Amino acid sequence: MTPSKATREQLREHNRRLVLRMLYQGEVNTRAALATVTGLTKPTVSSLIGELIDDGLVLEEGLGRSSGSGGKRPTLLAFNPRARHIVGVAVGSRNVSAVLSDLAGVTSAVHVVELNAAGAPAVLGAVEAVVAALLPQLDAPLLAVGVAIPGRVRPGDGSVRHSAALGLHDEPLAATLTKRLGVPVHVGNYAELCALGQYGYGLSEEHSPGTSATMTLDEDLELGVVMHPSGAHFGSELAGPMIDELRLGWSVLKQRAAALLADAPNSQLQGVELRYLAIRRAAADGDEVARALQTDLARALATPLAWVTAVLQPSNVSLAGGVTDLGEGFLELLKHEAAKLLGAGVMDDVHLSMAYSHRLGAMGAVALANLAELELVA
Amino acid sequence: MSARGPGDASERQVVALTNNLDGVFQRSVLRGATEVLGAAGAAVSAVELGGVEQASELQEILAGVARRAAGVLVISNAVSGEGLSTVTSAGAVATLVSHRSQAPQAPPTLMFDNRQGLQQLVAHLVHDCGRSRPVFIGGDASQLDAQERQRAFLDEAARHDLRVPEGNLLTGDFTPHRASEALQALMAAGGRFDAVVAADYLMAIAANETLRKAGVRVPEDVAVVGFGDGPEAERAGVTTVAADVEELGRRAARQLLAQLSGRRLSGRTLLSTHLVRRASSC
Repeated sequence: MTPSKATREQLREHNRRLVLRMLYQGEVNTRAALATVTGLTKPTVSSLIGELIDDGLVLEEGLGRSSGSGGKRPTLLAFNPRARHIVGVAVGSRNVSAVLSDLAGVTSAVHVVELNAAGAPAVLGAVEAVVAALLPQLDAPLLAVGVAIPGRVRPGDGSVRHSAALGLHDEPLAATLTKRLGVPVHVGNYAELCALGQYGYGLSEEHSPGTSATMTLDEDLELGVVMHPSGAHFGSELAGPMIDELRLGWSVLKQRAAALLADAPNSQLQGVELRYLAIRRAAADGDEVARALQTDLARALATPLAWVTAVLQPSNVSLAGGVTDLGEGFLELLKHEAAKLLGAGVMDDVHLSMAYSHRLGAMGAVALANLAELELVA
Repeated sequence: MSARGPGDASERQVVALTNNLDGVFQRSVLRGATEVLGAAGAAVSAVELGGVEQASELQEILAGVARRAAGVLVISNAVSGEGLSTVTSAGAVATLVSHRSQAPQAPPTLMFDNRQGLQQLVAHLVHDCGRSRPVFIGGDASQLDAQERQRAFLDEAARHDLRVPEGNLLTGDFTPHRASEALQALMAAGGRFDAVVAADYLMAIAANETLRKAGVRVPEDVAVVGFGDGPEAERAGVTTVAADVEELGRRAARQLLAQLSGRRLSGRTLLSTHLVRRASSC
């Protein structure tokens, strides 16, 4: 391949994505308007649209109005989000789940398998199993697969530097899966992809410009940050050492609960399976143990929240994962505790919300794959 | 299974096992599955196990299915774990529809996303309709769907800080007249509620009629919603989460065909649901 040919192909691919993105955003819907807004010639636009129609990504939808000076009525064009499917996989420490999504983030199915062991063979096998189980449910060609992994991921090649939860170390996950599955596979950090999922598919309550941070608390606390409007995401490298130091997560909360319950025989939480929902309900009834657990958790989370707010100055911070079951009341408690560290005025500038979707990581993986392949996110 | 070569017609024999061939759910699953399997050249037959009481007779029937079928669709809880082993012991592949086995190497499951559906129904009642005192009419507690939907309802109620007294958890067994009776009993006992969430849409339709006959205004006094959807719900104007049961059958058939072509599958596939707002809610 000569350099000049590669450049021509790259340029054509760039233009193709540009045209598709314009149609995806719904800003224009005719060939002539596309030529005007992109600066491409009309023959180039027509040729690209011809390709996109052949690929099923663009549909012709009747005729529009002719221009004021009369003349031929233009053919209206529309982006077809159902032309390709993407599988977004979220790898947890106990199970692996995957969503089957179209290009607009509308899901038709989810598949879940258990993860019974740590280490690369088990993780690779489980990811392959969830993707294989969704293949019979495809209604369109599979464009790509995204994978969300707890741990440090190299953004360039999707290899996992380290994942304590999954027992992975220097594992070329994206490359291995791409080879095995026969479609492009993109791998990212779970918390970063939770942030990307909110950014891409409007899963958050508010969608304001600037930087958004997502603090995910399930087994452990993780941080993801996404910048608007580029979709650039980071966080796992940035916050890792500080979060590891905090030792904040479900196992810590359970230890704390056990210690408190030893001195509270009448607590509503005695003999109950400890879940965030149970803590919320008991706290609402005035249970002292449940209230103490909420306050402890809010104080512990306030430190990373204050740090994120001071360093990144985000417009939005979302809590995601199981902790969202504590509800809006917990959010107020958290804001109050963070304000003690930073001052109320600083926290007033941040919109704090809950990201309630329990498929956020998998949707973020869909967004990652979409960004890499077509750039049709948000 | 040495008796079956690649060109053997028995490779395309699919048997659907059900506990009730007359059930609306079962018939709809079968219709959807037959459409896809038939188009793929498979011969489909259905076996009803609901009336079989003797264990030995059941084993004999299942052994017969194992001999002739290459693929088996198990609809709801038609077969227990042991029966499932009998069916698959001769090499047949299986897909479980709205059922699950905890056994190692268990066949894959295909069902609706019960958690998502209940999230949509409860969120609609609370956020859109402003309701705070729901009644839940549960399904047949021996079925996985019924268990999951009741658990999901209680979790969603807790997520919206709703108090649901024990007396507001009714049993309808996925049977409209039982749902109706349970609701009548609750009203007679002076139960207070402003919404009904039924574990399936047929019970929701029955609840809708029962309330209207009792002079309760729907949805002004009580909003009614149910899981799943069908033409009956549309005719009755009952709000549901669309979970097309025929589509469930079609999707299950796709999964079974993938297994018949040699793909090894495990785990469970949950089909997405979405809210269909009609006159019975706001």
